[in-house]
Amino acid sequence: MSTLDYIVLLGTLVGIAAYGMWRTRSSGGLQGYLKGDDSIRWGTIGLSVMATQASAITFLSTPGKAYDDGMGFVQNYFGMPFAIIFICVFFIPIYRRLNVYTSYEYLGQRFDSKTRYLGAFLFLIQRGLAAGITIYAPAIVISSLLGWNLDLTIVLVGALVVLYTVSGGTKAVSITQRYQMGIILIGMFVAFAMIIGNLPDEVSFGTALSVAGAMDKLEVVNFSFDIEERYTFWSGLFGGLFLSLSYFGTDQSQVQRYLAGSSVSASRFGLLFNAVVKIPMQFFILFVGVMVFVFYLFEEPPVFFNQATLDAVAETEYAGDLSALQDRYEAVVEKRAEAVRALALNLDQGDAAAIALSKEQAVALESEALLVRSEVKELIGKAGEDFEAKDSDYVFITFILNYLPEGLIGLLVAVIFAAAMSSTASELNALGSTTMVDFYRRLAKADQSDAHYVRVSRILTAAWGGLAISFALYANLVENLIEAVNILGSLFYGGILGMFLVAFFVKSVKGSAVFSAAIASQLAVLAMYQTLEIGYLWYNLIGCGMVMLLSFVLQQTVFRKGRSVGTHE
Amino acid sequence: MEANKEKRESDQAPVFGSWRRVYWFVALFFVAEVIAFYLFTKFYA
Repeated sequence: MSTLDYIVLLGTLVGIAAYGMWRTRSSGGLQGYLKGDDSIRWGTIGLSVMATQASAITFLSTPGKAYDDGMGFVQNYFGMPFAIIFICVFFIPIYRRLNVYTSYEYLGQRFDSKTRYLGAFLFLIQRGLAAGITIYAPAIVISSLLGWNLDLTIVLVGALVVLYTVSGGTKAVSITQRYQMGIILIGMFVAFAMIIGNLPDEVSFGTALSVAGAMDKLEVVNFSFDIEERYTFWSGLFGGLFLSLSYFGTDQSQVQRYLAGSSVSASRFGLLFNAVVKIPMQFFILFVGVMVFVFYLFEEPPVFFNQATLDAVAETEYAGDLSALQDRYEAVVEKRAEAVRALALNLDQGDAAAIALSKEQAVALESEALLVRSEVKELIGKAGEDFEAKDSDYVFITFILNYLPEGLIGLLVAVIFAAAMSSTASELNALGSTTMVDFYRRLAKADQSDAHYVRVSRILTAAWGGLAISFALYANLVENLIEAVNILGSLFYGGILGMFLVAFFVKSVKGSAVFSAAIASQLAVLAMYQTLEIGYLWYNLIGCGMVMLLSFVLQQTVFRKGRSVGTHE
Repeated sequence: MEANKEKRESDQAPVFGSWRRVYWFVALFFVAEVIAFYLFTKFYA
């Protein structure tokens, strides 16, 4: 990266953080610190909700996923619009009427303290771990490609987020997210334009699309009923519905965003904005990845996108094997480029027979290239246990670093870090609030002044920041970062959502029944994940269904006597 | 009464007039997206 890139990168990240701190330099009491004084407008809420969900992982992993597997991942979000409508109808009016700081407060009011603590505890575990991955994800990828010190990158990015989140609370998080999201959207459009601009002159946008389709990258919807397929219309609609219900309806990192709205209307409209915009946005990010794939059909791609790993393997006894594979790959992709150029020409001329022939050749050569890539990954696995044999998170950023001009590289790296910071800020803000409201204020010090609780909230937010940074420092790269976060969420979210749905809709069930059901279901889901081969999105539905059914059965049997006693706080 | 009126106004749906219409818009927008994705898939894949 050049000096100009560093100026753009640091100017963007530090500038937004400093502006957020300046705007919230006098954030009143606890209401102001945790809920932004209920003053935030729907547009800011909309962008804040979007920025919370779209972490750096979204912009690193998603294009890489499309590069490997095409567009099918977008189906994951198909349940989201209906989940958001459901939340607007049932959740938001109740949260606002009860004037809660956290969603788990509602569990306490509807059931009892232990159920509230369980809900808050499950949130703290999974979101605490996810916060570490959110910081770690961009740091590992960018530091390895740019030769930065990984630990220093994690600490600096983490410290900047902690600084403005601790300083300005919820309002600072929402204000900074508005500008971070603006930079992210501008950056992604610039990247897309640069990819299209870097295609060979004779390849139009329409031809690039046809080539991507011919290479099997444009299957967006798959109506298969196979439960073992990871992304289908049905798993996206039903599994995604429960994942989104739980994430937007019960996860404090999101609930806190829309509870800061100036009215029910602002909260609802901010959330519904995401119901409309999120799927097209994910489609666009995946589409960027597919266009990177098309670009590399004409240009020689690296045999493996993580250059640091390749360099490390080249230092081992497998260096000779790697070099041979690289030569083989070079020859295959050269032939593939010729075949794809012929395919593009035939597509332009519309000669069906010639299209079929050149497509067959291009697809065969692509299969051969994929075979060499898988052999390289196998070799990397053999060369060292610590070597990561998956490179999809490196695809998009490698393109940026190699093909974008000075200044724009800094902007796109800023996009990645801005996304990481915006998600982490919401997570830390929510972790601090939940610990303070659901645990500290109830178990340690009740009836203290607002100033005391704000001070403690700041300390707790900083402590969670420190924990997330520590976790990031000791994390190892998992198979695919975005999937790791989604899997982690899916294992816990179903149970939490089940507790909330019982609270809303099954009035006969009381605290002890739902508490026992939630613990039993959580253990069952973890055991199933270890032993069965089910697409992970289904665990949202399974966990939720188990809690609802089991709590009802327990209430009718084991806890039958307690029904008339009542367990409200 | 003033407070009730203010509350009602703050809970009103912007642009669409009622929340029911907003929800229908979101649902129909999703259906249109899926149809567009299906046609896109059929055309290119």
